[in-house]
Amino acid sequence: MAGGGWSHLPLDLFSLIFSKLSLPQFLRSAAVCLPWSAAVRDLSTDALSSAGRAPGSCSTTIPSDRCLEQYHLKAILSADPSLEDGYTVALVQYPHGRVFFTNSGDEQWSDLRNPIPVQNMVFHKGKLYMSTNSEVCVCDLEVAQIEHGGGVPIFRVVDQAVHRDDLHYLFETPRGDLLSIYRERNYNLTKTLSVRVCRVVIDDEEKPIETLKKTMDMREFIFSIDGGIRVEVGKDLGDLIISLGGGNALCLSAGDFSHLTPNSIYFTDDDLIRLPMLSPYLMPLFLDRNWFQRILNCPISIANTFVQLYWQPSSSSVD
Amino acid sequence: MIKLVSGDGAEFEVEEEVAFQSKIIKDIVADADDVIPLPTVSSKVLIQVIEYCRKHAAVNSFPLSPSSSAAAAASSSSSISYSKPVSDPALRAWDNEFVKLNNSSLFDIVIAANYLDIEELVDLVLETVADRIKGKQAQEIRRQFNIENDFTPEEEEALRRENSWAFQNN
Repeated sequence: MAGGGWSHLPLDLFSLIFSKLSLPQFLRSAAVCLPWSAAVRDLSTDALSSAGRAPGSCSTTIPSDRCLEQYHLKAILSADPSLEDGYTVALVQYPHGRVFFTNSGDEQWSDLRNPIPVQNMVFHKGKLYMSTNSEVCVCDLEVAQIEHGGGVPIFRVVDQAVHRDDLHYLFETPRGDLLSIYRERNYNLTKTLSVRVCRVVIDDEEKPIETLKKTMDMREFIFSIDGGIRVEVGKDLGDLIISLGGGNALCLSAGDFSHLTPNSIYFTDDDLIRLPMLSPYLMPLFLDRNWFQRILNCPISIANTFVQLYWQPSSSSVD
Repeated sequence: MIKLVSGDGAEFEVEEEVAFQSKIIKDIVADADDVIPLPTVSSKVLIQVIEYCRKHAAVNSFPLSPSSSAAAAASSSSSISYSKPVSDPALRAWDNEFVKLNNSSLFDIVIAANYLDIEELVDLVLETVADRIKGKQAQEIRRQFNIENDFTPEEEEALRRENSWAFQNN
């Protein structure tokens, strides 16, 4: 039993040491030597999942937990749970697009019993907005919960696609506006491609919708590659920058990212890459999975992961 | 009395309550002999482990004084350690002195304590080790714990890139 054998501890002892370290220090320990690196890799799944476990979350049961692992889930919060109680968690199950929700303190999940499969959803001003493949609708969860056991809750349509096949993005901007963007799937290079940006505004009686349409020539895409495909939208987006890609949208304030151009939409991937004519131009761009780091100077690395980032940085320029 | 025999043949006679700090020895004694060979533990390490067990057996066999039990109640609620926290302040101070050893000695002790299943001693040593890791970069940790850097430069760079945010100076 020679001394100095710290590189070859049994895994359970590694686990005890690492459990006493902060997450950054734990990850840094991987750089000490190969056995430590292997131990960090073996233990990181456990450590990360327990670090992210919310207190009290175990007491809540998700309905139809049979075969739950087969589903891909997305959960969103209506408010930051570390700030106050009274937040709601909404959960969408893919591929069936069923939505469940629960309020802080609830023991049970409620089934929204949405009649149409939901693709994406976002909380905006206390209501849940959901997009299907052809429209955006809104539902008041408080009302839905009261009516639970009664009829199907009311889903109000607030935006509709021009073509059923369009790519759709639904998100809140740093200023607190709700934007719905339909982006045409276009496989014909001689045609133009249209992006329709829509600001969803709902009053109690009326539902006026501001729409901003932008049509682009496909050739614009091909020749404007320098660290991202960028399209100037015009003054209507104000100082916002939108990035569309990976089925998700990210909306930034130009005040926080001065090296990006305001009033612009950056396209970061999506199925344009499948066009054989475009792929030589676009491949290098899309294969660079450190896009976030490079474009946004963001410290998050997404290399070697398939983690979807539903990350919306808060803006310093918003009150 | 129980007789412990180290790997290098030295014999140590200890009281039952001292030896029973080790769960393994307790199990062995329950269904076998009073002479227990410990071939993987050197006499140097066994002396240190027995010293620890003797101290803890002595403290555990006496009821806590009123002042220290109040401190125990206060400290137990804030402790997040896995094993039972050491509640007696005097014993904790003794523990802190006990682990003022170089990392090589601590390694031998923790391996022995793990083998003998002395949970509190394992936890004490690893807590100390974690404290010595905290706030240090990989290069410092290697030097402190006498660990060879067996990465290729490419592997090391890839690791840093993978979790680059954790490597930024804090």
